[in-house]
Amino acid sequence: MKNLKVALAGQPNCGKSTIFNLVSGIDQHIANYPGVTVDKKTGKFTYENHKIEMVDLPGTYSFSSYSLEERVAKKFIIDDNPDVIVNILDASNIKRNLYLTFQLLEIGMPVVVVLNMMDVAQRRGIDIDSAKISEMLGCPVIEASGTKNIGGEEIMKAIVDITQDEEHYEDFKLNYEELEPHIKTIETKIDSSTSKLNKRWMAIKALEGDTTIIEYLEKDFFDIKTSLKKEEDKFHSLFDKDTVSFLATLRYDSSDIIYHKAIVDKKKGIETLTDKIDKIILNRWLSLPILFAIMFMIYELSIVGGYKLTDYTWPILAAVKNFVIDISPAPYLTNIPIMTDFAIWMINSANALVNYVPIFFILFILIAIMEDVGYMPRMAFILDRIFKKFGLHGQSTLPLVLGGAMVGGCAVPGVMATKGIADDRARMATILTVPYMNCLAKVPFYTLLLAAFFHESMSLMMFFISTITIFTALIVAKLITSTFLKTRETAPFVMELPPYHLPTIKGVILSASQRVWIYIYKVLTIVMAVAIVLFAMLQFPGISNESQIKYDRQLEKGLNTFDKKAQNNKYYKEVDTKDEIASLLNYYDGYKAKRMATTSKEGSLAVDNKYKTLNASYFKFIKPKKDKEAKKINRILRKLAKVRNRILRNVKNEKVENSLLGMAGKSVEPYTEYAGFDWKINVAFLSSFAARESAVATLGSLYENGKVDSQRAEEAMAENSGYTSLHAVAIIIFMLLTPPCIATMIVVKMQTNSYKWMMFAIFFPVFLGVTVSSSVFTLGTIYQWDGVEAMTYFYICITALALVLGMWPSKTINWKGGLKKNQKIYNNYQQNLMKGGN
Amino acid sequence: MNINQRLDSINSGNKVTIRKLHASGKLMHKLLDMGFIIGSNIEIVREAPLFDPMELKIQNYNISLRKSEANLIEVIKYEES
Amino acid sequence: MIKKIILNLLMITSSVFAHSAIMSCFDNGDGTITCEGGFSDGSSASGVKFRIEENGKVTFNAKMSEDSEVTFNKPVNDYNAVFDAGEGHQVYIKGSDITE
Repeated sequence: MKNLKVALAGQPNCGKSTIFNLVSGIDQHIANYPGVTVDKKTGKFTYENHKIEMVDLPGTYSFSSYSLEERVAKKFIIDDNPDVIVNILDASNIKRNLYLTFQLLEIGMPVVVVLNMMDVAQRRGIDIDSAKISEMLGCPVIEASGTKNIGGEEIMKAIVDITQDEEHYEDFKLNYEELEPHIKTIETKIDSSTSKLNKRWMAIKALEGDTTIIEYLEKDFFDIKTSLKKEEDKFHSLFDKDTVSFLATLRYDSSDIIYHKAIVDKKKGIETLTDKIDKIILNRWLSLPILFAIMFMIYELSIVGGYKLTDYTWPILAAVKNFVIDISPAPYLTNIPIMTDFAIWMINSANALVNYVPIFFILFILIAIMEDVGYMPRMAFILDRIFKKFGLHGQSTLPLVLGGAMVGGCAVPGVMATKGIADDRARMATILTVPYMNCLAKVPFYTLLLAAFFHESMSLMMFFISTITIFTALIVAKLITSTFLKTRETAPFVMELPPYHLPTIKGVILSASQRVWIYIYKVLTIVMAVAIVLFAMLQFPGISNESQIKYDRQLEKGLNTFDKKAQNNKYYKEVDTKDEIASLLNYYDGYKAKRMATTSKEGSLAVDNKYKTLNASYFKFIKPKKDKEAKKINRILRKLAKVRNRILRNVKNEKVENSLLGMAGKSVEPYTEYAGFDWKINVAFLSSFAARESAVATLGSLYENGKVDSQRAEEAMAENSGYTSLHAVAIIIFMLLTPPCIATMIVVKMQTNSYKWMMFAIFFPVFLGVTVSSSVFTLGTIYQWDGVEAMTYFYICITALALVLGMWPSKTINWKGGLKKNQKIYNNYQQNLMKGGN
Repeated sequence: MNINQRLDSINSGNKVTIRKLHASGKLMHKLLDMGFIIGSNIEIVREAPLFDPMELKIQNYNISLRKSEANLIEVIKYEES
Repeated sequence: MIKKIILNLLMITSSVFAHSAIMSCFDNGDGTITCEGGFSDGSSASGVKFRIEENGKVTFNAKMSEDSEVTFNKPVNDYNAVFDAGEGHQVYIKGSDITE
């Protein structure tokens, strides 16, 4: 049993992941490379007596050290010392792909070259002489098609063969002509290095200015930088060229040679299918409508479709909830054990999050399809101009759309989708901006307020709410990038538009499942932890002694009524003690809960049977049928249940009011009253931080206290709270600007890799929310606006601001090295050369 | 055609050859990696719907470049040899 | 007209979310039926509209009580019990499916 470590390297869009999936099965583990937010995908499997550990390196166009992905990939090669590198190439694009291949071959480790997407190349009329390529490169060349499952076996065989063949492996050397003597000098200098890495490779890389290698060498050769500069200067003075472009040119020239010797492009110049499709997708007039149509379709399928799916998944969640209730200590009349209360709270919180899973799953599948097909770069291409104005990037489109453009979304997958954005500043800005989009979980909250205060103008208000978020997001993006993120590195928008190709089912499902799993694993755990804290804050210190006595008296009264009415009943003996009544009530509650959870006639019958067997004598009180005496008991039982429920509700509300959270809500009242919030609103906001959907439940129950029997919570709120529609607008605006939920904050931390930014992402929006809603409320009070008017003015201001910012001429972009238009600048060495003498 | 023509001023459908790169630092490396070396041929495929960025065909594949970046690439008309 | 459609579309698709409406009904055996409504996330359904439809006509209108339930006389003909919490939050139960 030999252990083999294999690294998979290749340029982006070469189908590397498909090959990875093809050979490595589904035992894949995704982590981060240490200290950075780059994905490290490892697959473990056995092949013919060998234990294979295969690492899918991030896709890189080159092997220098100018991007995070390249640095990470290089570090892996240096630190982890793989046995073989498998280089995946796009067979239709061999010339450019070879640029990386040469650099990989130079490393000195065994390389297996895989020409992927051979089927596409064939379709395009490209003939490839793989044997010739293999001969010229001195390594095995395998033809494959990941999507068609061709080549997996051959690849593995080549891997195993080549690692057993090490002595026969010849060092690959690209002749760098004029640079050779300088390479030799550096090579001699580092000859005493004990590193296992190929010395020539390190010398070349060092001359290229590769920071990773230079740092690595500096450890043993502290003056390496001086030597390098000397060689670079000599080279430049002799040939008037800089090493970087010289090397690049030579590599491309070599690629060209191979291309001309081994490849015949029969259909050169003829339009490919991709070209044809792009004529439509990127057409000046059609591109934007098509984009919107695709976005809309993603929504319809994932949000609406996913919601329909929850109709089928929710009974499962309800069953789990009922199970939890069953195994918790039973309530005794109005005394609910704290364990049970806690269990119910936790399971409700968990279910609220798990309920989203079908939606996420569909969403992630659709995204994976879009990514694999190749539409994402097109989307960035179309929208880049607008986004650039606000400090964002064309690739910010998907995250913002996921976060909720127009009809709503979820910030969690939105933030997770920022992984692919190349530009560091834009990526940070996107991460911090996505939470401002339309969070779906906030919608029931808006609906509650709109139904209460804006009954006639509901559609208009909803329209404002749905559409204002993109503008606020853009404004915030501009604000952030002009201030906090000003000094961040931006990246050039040099982006490949790969050919379209069909995604594989396996790849799509794997990608979606992996993402959903990350959501469940990371988010659920933290939200549960927060829920525990919130529970404590809402429970303690509990109701006062006086209230306890009051409620006990109410319960006694109810029980007495029950007893009186049951006295002359045939079945009195079965319900004459408190214990029996308590257990009968629990039985009744359990039955109702289980019936609610079933959706079919068969299901209802099953529940009936179960309860019949559980306790036949109790069952007759639930379903008395023709039994008159049992019916009487049934009626008074239901009345007693009503009394008990009312007591429970009152207890709950009082608990909340007295609780730590209630006190917190009351304590910030003096500040929030500028926005028109009273302590009840504050508590609702605070408690809903765990998950926004519970804002409604909390708010609703807070106002249920003292309302007329059949009023809706919103009506009660409208009447009892003393709020005006202006208050409502302030609340809505606050809700719009503040972060959606803890889950979002967690993924922000994950994507930025810093608690500092997570804190910023929490406090900045809250600050913004309080300031803006207070301003609107105060202005509205002064000018006597009603809710609709205030919202309208606010809306107009925001859109105007966004448009103005969009039209404003943008500053020059800055990336490392700066733009110098009129000077001939090569690279840093040249600059230094010009500064002082030799 | 002007000697000092820059890539961003070339219209769609034309073919040019790279004469010189005026970029530096990160952009320079990126361009080199992607095949923008002196002597390479570029075909201008189209402008984005909002007029920026531009789509180019180089080394047999398609790439997009912002006009501000394309401005740093000096080109001459492509001569069929 | 188009604006109205778009606005309504926005309303519908956005208020669909967060919790499913649920309802179960029991035949009390004394000529009355009791239906209890709720939401999958546990929030109360008190005050939610409820109605009985027979042959497409509404023959009974009420709102869910404080305890989220409503009791009504069992109709003679075929009927549907409808729990109506707004667009996308409606539950229809056929009278014939309500067992004793």
